[in-house]
Amino acid sequence: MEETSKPLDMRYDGAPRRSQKPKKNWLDYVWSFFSSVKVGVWLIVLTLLGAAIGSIYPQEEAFIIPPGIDYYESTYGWLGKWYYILGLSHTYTSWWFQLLVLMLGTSIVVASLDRGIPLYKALKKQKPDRTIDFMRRQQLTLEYELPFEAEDQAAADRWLNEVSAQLGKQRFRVSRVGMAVMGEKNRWSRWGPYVNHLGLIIFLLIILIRTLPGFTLEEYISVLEGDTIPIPNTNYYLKNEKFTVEFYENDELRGQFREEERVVPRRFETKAVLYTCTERCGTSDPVLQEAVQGTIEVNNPLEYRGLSIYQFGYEVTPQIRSVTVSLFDKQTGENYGQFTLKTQNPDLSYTAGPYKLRLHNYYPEFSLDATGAPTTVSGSKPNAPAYIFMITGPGLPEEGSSYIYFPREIDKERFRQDDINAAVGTGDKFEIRAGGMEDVEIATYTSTLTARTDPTVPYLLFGGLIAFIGLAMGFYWQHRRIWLRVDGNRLTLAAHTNKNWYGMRTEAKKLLEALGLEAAAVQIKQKNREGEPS
Amino acid sequence: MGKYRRWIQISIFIAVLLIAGYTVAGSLLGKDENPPVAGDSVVPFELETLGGTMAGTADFKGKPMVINFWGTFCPPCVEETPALQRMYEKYKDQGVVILGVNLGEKDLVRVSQFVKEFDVTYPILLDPELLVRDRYGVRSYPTTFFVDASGKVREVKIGGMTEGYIDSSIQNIIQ
Repeated sequence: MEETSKPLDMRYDGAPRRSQKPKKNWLDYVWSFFSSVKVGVWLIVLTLLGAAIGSIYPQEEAFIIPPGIDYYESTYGWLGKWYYILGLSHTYTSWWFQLLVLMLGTSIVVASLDRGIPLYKALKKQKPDRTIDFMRRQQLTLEYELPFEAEDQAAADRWLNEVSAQLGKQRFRVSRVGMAVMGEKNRWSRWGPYVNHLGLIIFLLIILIRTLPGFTLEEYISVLEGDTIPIPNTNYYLKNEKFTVEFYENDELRGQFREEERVVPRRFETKAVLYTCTERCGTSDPVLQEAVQGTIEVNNPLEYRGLSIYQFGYEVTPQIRSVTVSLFDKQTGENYGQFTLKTQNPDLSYTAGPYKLRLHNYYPEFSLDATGAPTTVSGSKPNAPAYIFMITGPGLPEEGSSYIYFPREIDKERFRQDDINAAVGTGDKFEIRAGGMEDVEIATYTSTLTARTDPTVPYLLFGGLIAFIGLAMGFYWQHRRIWLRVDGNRLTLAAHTNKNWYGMRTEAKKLLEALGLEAAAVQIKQKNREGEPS
Repeated sequence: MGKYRRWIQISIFIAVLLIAGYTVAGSLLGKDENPPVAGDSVVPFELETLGGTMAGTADFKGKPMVINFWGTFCPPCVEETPALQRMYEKYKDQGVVILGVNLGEKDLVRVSQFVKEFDVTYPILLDPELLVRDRYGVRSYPTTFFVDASGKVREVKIGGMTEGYIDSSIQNIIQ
C-alpha cells in the first residue's frame, strides 16, 4: 500500500456549508454565529445555569397568591431579598431566560439547515465512480491485483458483476457506472440528527404557544363538604358532595410510623359535581347547570371538555353546617315547632307554631369588641356561631322580643346566653335548643383540588416522539458506503461510514472474503488532524 | 440557488425577531396579571351589590373612585366606616364614588345590618369568593385604592385611615 496524505474531510460528504462562505456580509455573520456548535453548546450551558438558579428558591408561580419581597427576605434572609430584587423569583418567565431559550431554538434551526441542506444535496448527486485519489484518501482503503489479465475487459466486467451480487447479498443498494461499483446502505440514518432537531423545534414552539394568555389553566380550590364554589378564571362551579378518607390501621404500619402511631391515609376521594354557570356568575346566587359528576381520587381526575380536576389533598376542618332546633315554651315545655339554622348565610325568617322568628343578626365567630358590642372574629368560619332573633307572636310586643342562641354548648356558657336572654325578657318565656347531636350537621373535611386545562400535552408528546425517532435513526443505524473500481486488473476499494467503523470493517472483510481476496489487510486509518501521514 | 438560500436566511431571522419581540413584550407587559400598584390602571371588575344588582368599575368610568376592601370582622375597617361615609357625603356631588368591597362575608344579614347601623350610602359590593381581593393582591385589611378620573391608581393605602387622611387622598384624585 502506498503512503497517502491526510484522509479527506468527509463531514457533510465534503460539501461546503453556507457558514463557511469566505466573503460574509452582516447576515452571514449572524448565520455563522447561530450555526456554530461552540455557540450552541454555550447556549445550552447558560440555559442550564439559568434554569438551575431558578430552582434554588420557590418561584412566584408556585404560590397561589405570589408573595412579595418580604416573604423572601423573612424566609431566606438577605440572599432571598437579593434573589427577589434581581428578578430570580420569576426566572422562567423573565425576558432574559426566554431569550436564551429562543436563541437556543434559533441555533437548532440554523445549525441544522446549514449542515443538512448541503449534506442532502451532496448525497443526492453523488456518483458511484470516484477517482482513485478520492478512494486512496478514505480512512478505509485497499488495493489488490486481480486474477486476470489487465486487457481482459470481459473478465473485469464479470468480476464486477460478482461484486454487485455479493454487495446485494450484504443488503447494500448497488449502483454501477462503467468499471466502478458502489454499495450504499442506510443513507436515511444520516437524517437522524435532523429529525431529532425537528422534534425539539416542535417542542419549543409549542412551549412558546403555551404561554399565550388563556391557553392553560391551573387553579387550586378548597371545598368544604357540602359547599359549591366557583373555579376562578372559568365559568365552572364545583360541589363537594362527600369526602371520604380511609386510614391505615396501626398494625398495617411498620417501623417508625407504627411506633409513633402515625395517622396515614390509605385512600381519599371526593364525590364531586361540576356545574357550568350561565348567569349571575360570581354572585351569591349563580344560575348553575350540572355538567358532570364523578369521584375524584389522587391521579384519577374528573374530566369534562378539556378541564381536569385532580385531588390534591385535604384538611381536617370540622365545622357545623347546620343545626335543627325547636322553639320551646320555657314554662309549659311545649314544642312550638322545628326549624333548621344554616351556619352560612342563614335564612332571615322562621316559623314555629304561632311565633315568627326574624333573624336580626348572625355572627359565625361571636365575640365582643372593645366597646362590648357583638362582633365576629371570622368573616366566614362558624367557629362560634351566634344567632340573634326578633320573635313576634301571641303575648309579645309588636316590634318583637330579642333572643340570642348559641348552638355550641361551650359558647352558650362562655357568653352566658341564659343571662342575656333573661335580661331582655325572653329568657323566662322561651328556649331554643337542638334535640341532640343527630340534629347537628357537621362537615369534617375540606377537600383541596387542582383544576387544570392544558391542550398542548399531546402535541408536546408528539414533538418528543419525533425527537426520539431521530435519535434512534442516528444511533442504531449507520450510513455505509463501499466503492470498488477496476483499472485493468487492479482493484481499488474504499469504504466510509459516519459511525461504527468496526462494523464497516466487518462488512468490508466479509465482502473481500466472499470475493476470495485477502481480508486480513483491512485496517482503518485514523484521521490525523496534524496533517501527518499515519 | 444562492438567492433562494438568502431568502430562507432572511425569513428565518424575521421569524426569530418576531418571536423575540413577542417573548420580551410578553414578560414585560405580562405584569398585567400582577396586582395593581400606584401608577397602574385600575383592574376592572363587576360584583353583586347588597341590593342584588350588579355594579362595578365600568359604571363609574370617568369618575374618581375609592375602592375600599373591608369586613365586619375587621375592627379598623369598622372604625373608619363613619369617616368614609362622611367623606362620601362631602365629595359625592363632585363625582367621587366610594366602593366598599366586602371581603368574603356570605352572611348577608350581618352585612346589611352593618350598613343600616352605620347609615352607609355608598355602594357596597360583595366579593363572596374573594376573587377580586386576590386579583387586587389585598393581604391585610383594610386596604384602599385611590383611583383618579382617568382610571389610574394613585395610591394604595394599607391599614385604617383617619378622616383627615381620606380627605387629603380624595383631594389628590380629584385634581
